[in-house]
Amino acid sequence: MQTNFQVFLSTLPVVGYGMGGVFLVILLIMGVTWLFNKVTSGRDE
Amino acid sequence: MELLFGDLMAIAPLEWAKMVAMWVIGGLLIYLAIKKDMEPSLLLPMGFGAILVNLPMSGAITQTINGVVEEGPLSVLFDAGIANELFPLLLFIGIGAMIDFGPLLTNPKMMLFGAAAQFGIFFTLAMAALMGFDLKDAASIAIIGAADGPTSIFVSNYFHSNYIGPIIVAAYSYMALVPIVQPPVIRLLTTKKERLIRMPYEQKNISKTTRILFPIVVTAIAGLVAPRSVALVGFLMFGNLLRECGVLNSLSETAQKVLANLITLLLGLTVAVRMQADMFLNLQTLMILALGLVAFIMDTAGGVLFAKILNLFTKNKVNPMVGAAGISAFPMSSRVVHKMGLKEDPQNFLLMHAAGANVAGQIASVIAGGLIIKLIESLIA
Repeated sequence: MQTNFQVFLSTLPVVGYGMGGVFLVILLIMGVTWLFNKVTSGRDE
Repeated sequence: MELLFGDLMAIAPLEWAKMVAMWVIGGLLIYLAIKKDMEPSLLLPMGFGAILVNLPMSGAITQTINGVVEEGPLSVLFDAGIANELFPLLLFIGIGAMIDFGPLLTNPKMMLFGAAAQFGIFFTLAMAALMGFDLKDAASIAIIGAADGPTSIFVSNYFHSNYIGPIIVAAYSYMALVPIVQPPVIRLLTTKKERLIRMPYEQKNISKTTRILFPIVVTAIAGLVAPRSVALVGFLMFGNLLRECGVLNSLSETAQKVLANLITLLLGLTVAVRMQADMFLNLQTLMILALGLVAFIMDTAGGVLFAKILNLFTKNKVNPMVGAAGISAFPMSSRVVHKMGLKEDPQNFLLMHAAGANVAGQIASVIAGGLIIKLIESLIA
């Protein structure tokens, strides 16, 4: 049976990977958005 | 008398006390909805539902009376729409159709603040675990920090959390309290000089192609990294695609108005099934309300502090208050930041930047929801 502190420690990688994952997806979306803006600017409305 | 009130007289005083307490809580939610205009579309049905499900031997919920199971309509609706996560997903179509990603597409850098302002979710996950909640419940409580009702319902239901009632009350209450919760945190973490930073807004023409491709690409990217978020992101982006494609205006309007209102009407009432006295009146509910507040505070802090760190490395400074708008409480948070900006400097219009961060927060919160499901599942396995 794990103590509360042990369970807390087990969540720390989730915190790291979770925030990292959110930033990774956002950065990918940002990159693609920038690309779209570059390619499509000056074309249709 | 015995015939009419015999069953009622058989109920223990403690049970009566619990039921009456829930009637008071239901009444309080109704009062907050009507008098204080706090998220009335959810708090009013939830308040009324709380009264419905806490009446003795209520026919609104499934009960076993004298060995016979009698189905209640709210329980049927719960199984039909909440237990299978259908209602929040359908609501997301409507929400997606309401969102204009224009300010965000004009200034994609704002997406970073949407990401940073999800910090409260993960911080609260760790705190909830420290306070003794198991991982599934800790994740369900943490997602209050998504500041998004459908995501909170989706994740807490996915983990079959027993605390779905207080989680949803906390999520919607704190969303309504954003104008009260955020400003003190922002003022604490920023200097007067930082709050005065001006951010001129350059209106750019976003092509229709970009507006159409954006929801498709977001769904694909988010789905590849966090497969569990596909339903949430996909339905949100589908709604947005209905709006932006230009050929389905009637469907877009239906999604924004009829669908969103219909689901909202049923959602609040149905969620109340989890507000029965035995599930709601316990110490854990108070802890969840406290943790929910922590989540919102740390979301705000995450966004503001990220903006301050970014300012160390960039030439064009960002007003750190805009970071706080990365929380998903749309459009409340962007309006709060805009008002705070005007109060400091009547010539500083932060609304479009804040709106960009705010809608980015909507995307980021859904991604965070999908990731938390994936990561906690792998931890438990």
